[in-house]
Amino acid sequence: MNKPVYILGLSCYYHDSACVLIKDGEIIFAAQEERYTRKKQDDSFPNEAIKAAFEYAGITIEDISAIGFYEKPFIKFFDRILRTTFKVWPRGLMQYQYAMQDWMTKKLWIPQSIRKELGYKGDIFFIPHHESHAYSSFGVSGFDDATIVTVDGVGEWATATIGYGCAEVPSAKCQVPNSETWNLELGTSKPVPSVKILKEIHYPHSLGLLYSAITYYLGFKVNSAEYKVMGLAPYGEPKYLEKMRELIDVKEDGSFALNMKYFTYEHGLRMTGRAIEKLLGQPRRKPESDLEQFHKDIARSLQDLTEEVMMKIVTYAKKISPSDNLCLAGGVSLNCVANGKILRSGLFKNIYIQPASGDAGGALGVALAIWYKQFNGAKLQQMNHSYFGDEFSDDEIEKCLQNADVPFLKLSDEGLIDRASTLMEGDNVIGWFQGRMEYGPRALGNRSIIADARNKDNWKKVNLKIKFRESFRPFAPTVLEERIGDYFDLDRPTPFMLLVADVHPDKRDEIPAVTHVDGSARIQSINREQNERYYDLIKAFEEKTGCGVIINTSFNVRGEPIVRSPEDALNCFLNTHMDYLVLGNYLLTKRDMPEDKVLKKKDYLEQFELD
Amino acid sequence: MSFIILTILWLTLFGIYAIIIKTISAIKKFPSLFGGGARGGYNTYWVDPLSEVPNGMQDQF
Repeated sequence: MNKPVYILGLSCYYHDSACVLIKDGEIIFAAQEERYTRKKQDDSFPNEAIKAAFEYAGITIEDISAIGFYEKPFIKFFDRILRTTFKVWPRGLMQYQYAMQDWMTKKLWIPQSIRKELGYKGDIFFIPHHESHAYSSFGVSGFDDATIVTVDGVGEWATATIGYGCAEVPSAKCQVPNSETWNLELGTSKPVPSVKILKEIHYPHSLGLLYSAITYYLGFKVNSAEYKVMGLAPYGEPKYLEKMRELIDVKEDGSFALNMKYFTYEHGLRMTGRAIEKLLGQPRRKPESDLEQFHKDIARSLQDLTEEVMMKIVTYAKKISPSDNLCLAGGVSLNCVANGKILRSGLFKNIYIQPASGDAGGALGVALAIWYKQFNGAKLQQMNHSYFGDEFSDDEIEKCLQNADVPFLKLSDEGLIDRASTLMEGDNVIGWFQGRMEYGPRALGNRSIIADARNKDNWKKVNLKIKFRESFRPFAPTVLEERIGDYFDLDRPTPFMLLVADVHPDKRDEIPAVTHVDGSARIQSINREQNERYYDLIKAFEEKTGCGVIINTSFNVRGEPIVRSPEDALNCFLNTHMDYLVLGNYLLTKRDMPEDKVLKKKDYLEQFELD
Repeated sequence: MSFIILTILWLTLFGIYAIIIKTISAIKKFPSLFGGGARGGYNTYWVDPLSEVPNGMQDQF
């Protein structure tokens, strides 16, 4: 019997460290390091995630056939970082100090770190950052061919790329439809997906960094809170769109250049300076200060601009690498409002965006690239769920509850669904912890806080009393896949909550807690194959209430990574105003909890840095 | 690496090289030597990627 091929993909040292383990072309484990270290967007070497992956797979480092890193560190440092340093000199001393410390001690020693941390002696591979993104999407899209667009902050030089992916033609000549010859050359009878990057836009011109810069200007945390700006946008009007055009020169083909006099990230420790304050007419908002209409208008203007540029990019991409299918990746692809707009444009029949679309997805991308390029591995089926992380048995959960000395009730599978769906009616908020943890930034039904979408008050309650986050933040719905069309202006499944569509006008009053101020919703659809228990829960809720939609938000408080273990979930439950907690088959009721264990909110929240 | 050593490097090696590069740029009147600051005068900002090197996946560059 042949030894299985295990490939480990890694991303780290920037933000969102993660590891992905592939066995013979099947993803068997994927997780971000932040879930283990409890530090949001943790950038450290993903030791804990790797340990969990090996434990899950029952392997050791000796079983690993190849390890991949999600970018090319030497290009990034010797080309971009140093050239930029020379360019901005004599400015940028402090940025240079921080960067050099980081690069000299960590980032220039990737193979050494991998070998030292893991005791690994085999091959280590590197692919460009945006190629990792491209593979992370196309490699699990299930498409035979696709137009690929990746947009993020920055990789080595590239900040946005257009590429082409094909599973039946040589990568060097993507347009030649001659899979037979190619397959024979490779000595395999199966089509092997490959990706070719055709065009790039280079640093410092970056749509992702523009979005981050305005996020910073609005007083939110960079590389973390961009989604808040997207959520804030519908409250505003695009009054500053014309002024923002001063920040960026956009060509008809979607290419763009930033006007760098308004940005300081090339040489400073801040994203923007006085020039942008002068242009937009107000100083930068202080973090945690009140949000005014001005800030909402800025957010809306930025969002409109981003959508406009993304539309131009995908239109051009379709022209130079035509396909009916579009694969999106990179941090900007988490902008589900822009994704929804691209979908509605009808440019592409199918759109695929995998759930860890940001840098955490780079770990998946490089693992797939190794599988396809080094092992001529067969094409993976479409990834249609994200449950690749840790899971805990009922025994482990019970042990945790006994150690914590809290009262609980164990229910049968059917009893649990019936009880939880009944409790969800009205104003109860439930922590829902089941099965394997999700890969990527979204909780999709295994590490979620859920509530009745029909009750508008639940929106405020979850925001202010459970998540302790800004009141403007909207909640996403999970809808039974077969009922998407009943509630939303959307004709296809969206399992990763990465598409925004309008709620039908006649349904907005029925599900007000998940209908944003502009009538839209960031939708997650679910079918029984993807997540049996979560589907059954919503189905049971639908049978009781007639409503096939619930609120689904991530199981955490503001600034906290999504919970990973029963201990994390219990802590979060005890320190918030959540009413019930369901851990596997166990039900905990807040009012039954011992008084000395509940609501040490201040101590709990202080552990996490606000985003 | 200490703050002082890095600052000395910044002032000497980096400074000299930066001045040379900036001088060459100024002489050539080539505004986008570093890919920065370009605005107007272009039909597109898309550029071609670096060509792939055989077995390039094993290299960090």
